[in-house]
Parts: sequence; C-alpha cells; structure tokens
Amino acid sequence: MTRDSADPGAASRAATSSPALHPGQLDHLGKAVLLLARELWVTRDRLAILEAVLEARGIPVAEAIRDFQPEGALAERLAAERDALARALVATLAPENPA
Amino acid sequence: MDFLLRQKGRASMEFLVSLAKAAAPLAPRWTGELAAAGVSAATLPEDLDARHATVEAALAGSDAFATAALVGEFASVEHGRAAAAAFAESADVLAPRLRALEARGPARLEEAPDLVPPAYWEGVWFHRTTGGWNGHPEMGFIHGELIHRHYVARTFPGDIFAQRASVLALLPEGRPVRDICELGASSGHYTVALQRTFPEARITGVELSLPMLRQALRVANENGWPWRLVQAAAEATGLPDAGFDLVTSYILLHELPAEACRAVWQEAFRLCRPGGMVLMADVTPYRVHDRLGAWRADWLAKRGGEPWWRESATLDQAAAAREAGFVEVTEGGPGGAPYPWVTVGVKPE
Repeated sequence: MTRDSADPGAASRAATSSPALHPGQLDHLGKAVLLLARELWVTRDRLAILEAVLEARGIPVAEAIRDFQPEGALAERLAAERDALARALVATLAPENPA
Repeated sequence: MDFLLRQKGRASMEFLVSLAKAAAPLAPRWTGELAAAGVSAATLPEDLDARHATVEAALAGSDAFATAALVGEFASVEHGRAAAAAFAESADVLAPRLRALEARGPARLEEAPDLVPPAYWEGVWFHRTTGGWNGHPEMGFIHGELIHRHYVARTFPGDIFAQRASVLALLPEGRPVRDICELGASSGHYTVALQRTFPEARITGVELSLPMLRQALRVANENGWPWRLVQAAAEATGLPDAGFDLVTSYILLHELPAEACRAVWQEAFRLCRPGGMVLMADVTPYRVHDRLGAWRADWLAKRGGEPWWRESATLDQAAAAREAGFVEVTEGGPGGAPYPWVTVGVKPE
C-alpha cells in the first residue's frame, strides 16, 4: 500500500494475504469441509446414476448436459439451492450461536 | 456481446455469486461486534496503520469477521481463475467469434510492440487477477465480459453499467463534445457509455494492456463504432496537443501512485483544447469517509490487489487538476453520492 515495500505489487500476486481465520474456527472449518464432502458425494452419486440410467435407455447425455442452459423454474430452483448451500457454508464457519 | 457459458463454468461462476451473497450479512454482524467493543469512527486513531491494528485487535475472535475475510480472500483470487476456466471450456465456440469481431471494423487498434510499461503497472496483479491484465491472451474478454457480467454485476452494489453513464451528467453544460480521449479505456465499458451519451463524438481510447484493448476493439466493431484504440500509458499517450474537447477516465486513478496521477492530470491538460473539459471518475477519497469507512476501504484495497489505492485516495485530485492548469474545478458524486467520486475541470480559453 505504501512506498515502504521494495515491491508494492507483491501482495497482489500473493497466493494468500494475511490469515483470515482465527484458531478458534478450526472446528468450524472441519465441519464445513465435511459438509462440502457430503454434498459433493451426493451430487457425484446422483450424476453417475443419472447417466447410467439414460445410457441404458440409449440416450447419450454428456454433450447435452455441457451445453444445457437452465431457464425458468429450473434456473430458479438451482439458484435457490445454490444460495442455500452457500448460506449453510457461511453459517457453519460463522455460527450465530457457536456451540 | 451475448454468449453462453457451458455447465462447469456457468455453475462455478454462479456458486461464487451465491457465496458472496451468503457472506454479505456478516458485515452488519462484525460491525456490531466492533461497536460492542467500543470501536467506532469517533474512537479510531487518525493514522491508518494504527486504525488497522485497532480494528484487527477488536475483532480477533470474531467468527463473522474472519469468515467474511476468508470468503473475500477466496473470491478475490478464484473469480479470475474460475472465469479463465469457464472461457477454456467454451473456447472452441468463443475464440472464432472473437477473431471475427476483431477483423470486422470500423474501429482500429494501434499496438505499441516496443512499449515499456510503467514500473507501477508491470508485475502487479491488479484485482489479484492471476498474471495481471496481460496474464491471459483473452483477459479482455475474461475480465471485461465474463467476470463483469457473470460476477461483478451480480455482486457489486448498484448498476455498474448505469454508473458509468451517470457521471457524465456532471459535465459543465454548453460546451461541445466532438472529440473524446478516454484514458485507461480497458475493455471499453466506459467507452460505451461515452459513445451512447455523445453519439456523434469521435473517440480515442488509451490503454496499456493489449488483451484489454482487443476486447474494446470487438465491442466497438460489434456496434459499428469507429473508435481509435491506442496502446499507451495514460500519462504518456503520444497523442498530439489540444486535440480533444473532453479528456476523461473511469476508475483509472486508484490504480496509479500519486506521481502518476499528477502526470495523468498534466497529460489531460496537454490533450485538451482551450475551453475543453476534463472528467475523472474514481474511488471515494478517504477524507470523504469517516475513519471507519476509510479503514474499511483501505482493508478491502489491501486484500484486493490494489497496491496504489491508498496513495490515490489520499491524494487531493482536485488540487492536482488545478496544479495541472485546469480551472472551474469541482468534485463530488452523481446525486450527492460518494461513489463514484468525480473531479471535473475546464482548460482556460
């Protein structure tokens, strides 16, 4: 920020700036990682089953999924579920009433 | 330009937006914690570094503050990487469209292959974008279109595109605007606002980054606008004296150290015709904030890949305009808002 540093741009290239979390949040962080792992597995399991069911019925879906643009009710449903997941993550990291 | 993202890139960008929205309610929580700790604008010290120390000590055990910092840190680095990956996923469709738009005309781009970028620019990853503005050959599209439309416009307060046009209402009335020079034109967002506000004006855009200028070229060509786009530093454009009725920039000055800001004002004065105008829109000066607001701006700048923000936001830009020779200098925001902060002046006849 100031001319004190010989390389003022160094912070802009840093992989991370000063630490954000404090030691008391490590348990929260662990819970957030487990929550993410659960959500990720549910999605992977569902995708694998979905593709297998469709392929078994002779419907190739990989390219169709890649190019599909959600609209209307599906887009709204996805947005609501995505927002809820993000809120759950934040609430887990920063609980209103820490246990 | 209209474009679609494929599934991975689309979902990845959408998730970052949701994460930013989810973290937004943390700010009032940690602000309340700060107040409960007895820290306020009235109690914070004058020195900015001491202010950082005071706030960080008061919030050392705050889950809300730490999580807001974590999400901000993650998003500031990942939005650029996610956008670059989204571009790669759709490059087979997008790249030919970009090449065709570059070749279409009527705009023209004047490259400067021997340009030596200023020391304050070279090696800085502005906005923590990996590699800086030249860090990807398609950074102009990735940052100017993909990030702005799929991330910034959905997370930044207000209508970022309308803001660019709103500042032009602060220009003095009754003066002709036939030739415009935009300094720091980037990928052309403000240039679009200029052309739409002054449809008959001839526009010259000056920018250091070639990938950014290529995107501005596509925007101009798609709309049929004959922009002249010049690769150069804003303080050393190489353009002739007194060629413009309006010299202007939008969100350029906070990316420059103080002496470069002063040099830009002097270059603007040289480029202006007698009776011509200058308008520079930028971040809110720290003196306009209270001490807490200035601390927060400085905290975000420190973490957001903005090495010159403090220098620029503590420089009296209106005084720099007067020192360069401009008169009738005024400053303030559209409708009295503190952002964007607009400094306007006139070159004496």
